[in-house]
Amino acid sequence: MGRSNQELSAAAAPYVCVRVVDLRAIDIHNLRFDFDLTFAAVLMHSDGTVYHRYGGRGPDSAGSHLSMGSLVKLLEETLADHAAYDRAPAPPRAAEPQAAIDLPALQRRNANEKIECVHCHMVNDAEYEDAVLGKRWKKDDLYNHPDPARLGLTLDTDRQNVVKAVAPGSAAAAAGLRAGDEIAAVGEQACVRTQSDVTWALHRAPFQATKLDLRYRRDGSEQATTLALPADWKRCPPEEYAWRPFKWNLSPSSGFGGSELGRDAKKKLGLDENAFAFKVDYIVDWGKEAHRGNAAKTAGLRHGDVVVSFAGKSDFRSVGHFHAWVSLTRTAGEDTEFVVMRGKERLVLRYKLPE
Amino acid sequence: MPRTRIVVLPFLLAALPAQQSTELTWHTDLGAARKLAAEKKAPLLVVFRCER
Repeated sequence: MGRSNQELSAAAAPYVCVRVVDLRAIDIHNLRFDFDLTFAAVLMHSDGTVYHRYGGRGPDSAGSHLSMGSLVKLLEETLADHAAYDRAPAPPRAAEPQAAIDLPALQRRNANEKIECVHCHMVNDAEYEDAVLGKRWKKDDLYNHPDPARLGLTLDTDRQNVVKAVAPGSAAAAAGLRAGDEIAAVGEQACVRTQSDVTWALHRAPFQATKLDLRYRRDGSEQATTLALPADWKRCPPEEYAWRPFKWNLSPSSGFGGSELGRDAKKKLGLDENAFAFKVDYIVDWGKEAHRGNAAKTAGLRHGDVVVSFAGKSDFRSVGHFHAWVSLTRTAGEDTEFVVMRGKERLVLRYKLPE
Repeated sequence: MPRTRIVVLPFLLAALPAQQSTELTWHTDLGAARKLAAEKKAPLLVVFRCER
């Protein structure tokens, strides 16, 4: 569905358009979306009622869930939602306002180093830090804004509430959904028009085993079903979590990182061109996580070493996958072996995985 | 901690906030924009774009 910038302009013209690049003044208790994203849009009423969220991404591409056509379509269709709401407004019960910059963690940081700009992901980081300090943090909380893939649903990129595929054996399949169905409502989201609307409803549902009502249109009629979601249903594999900047908050962590080697560089080291390998560009020997990098240095790691396997695993899809896998599947303090190339020399280093 | 720079669908990012349209006015103050939307009885399109 190719659409032009002119069509986007025309579709957005009835709206009061706002561009937010600094979240400091945003009331994050009453206006929430997936703060890990680098692009998100919210369509809302002036009273704070959110009609739809737009954004989202897949594990491999930041643009996989975005298209000009889907955004134009959303802008056009939401005008009807706005007109209907204006006939029977029901303003949401507002939560206690919370400007992002007033989060205690950001206040502490601002006192040390003036924050020039509150990025979206910084809200997640600050809420995490405050939750840990307040002993409110639960490890399951890291699985926020679950992708519809957790239900076994693949949605169409241009017509975002239309089911493109249903995974066999999934909760969506058990609920009777099939390709071509148009999701009308799910959970708390009374009107679904986007992938992010579905994600929001999933985000608001409990992590534990639960049932979620879903309405969909098929062959011109609307039908209802129930999604039966098992315990831990929000949990995703590390490769799907790898893109999230939130992973940098998690423990344990290797204490080092770097950039993936290109094919030529791998050949020079005698590595298979498809093998996973990254060059150690940094060792975290500064700040409050300095113990992590120091543990790696004590094990013998140096800048410029090339990591080819970690804890027996060498099939990481990316450096992000490596970091997510360490944090999501390993335990702090466990004996860990990792293999690095230093020139043509292959070294096996050992340490206790830092917390 | 170094963070991965993420490249987002370039045309969409370029098209929205950087739109050189004579029809669209992009506000930066959400509070003021909400008041304006209430006066105009218009819906709001709020775009969050991380510059990193």
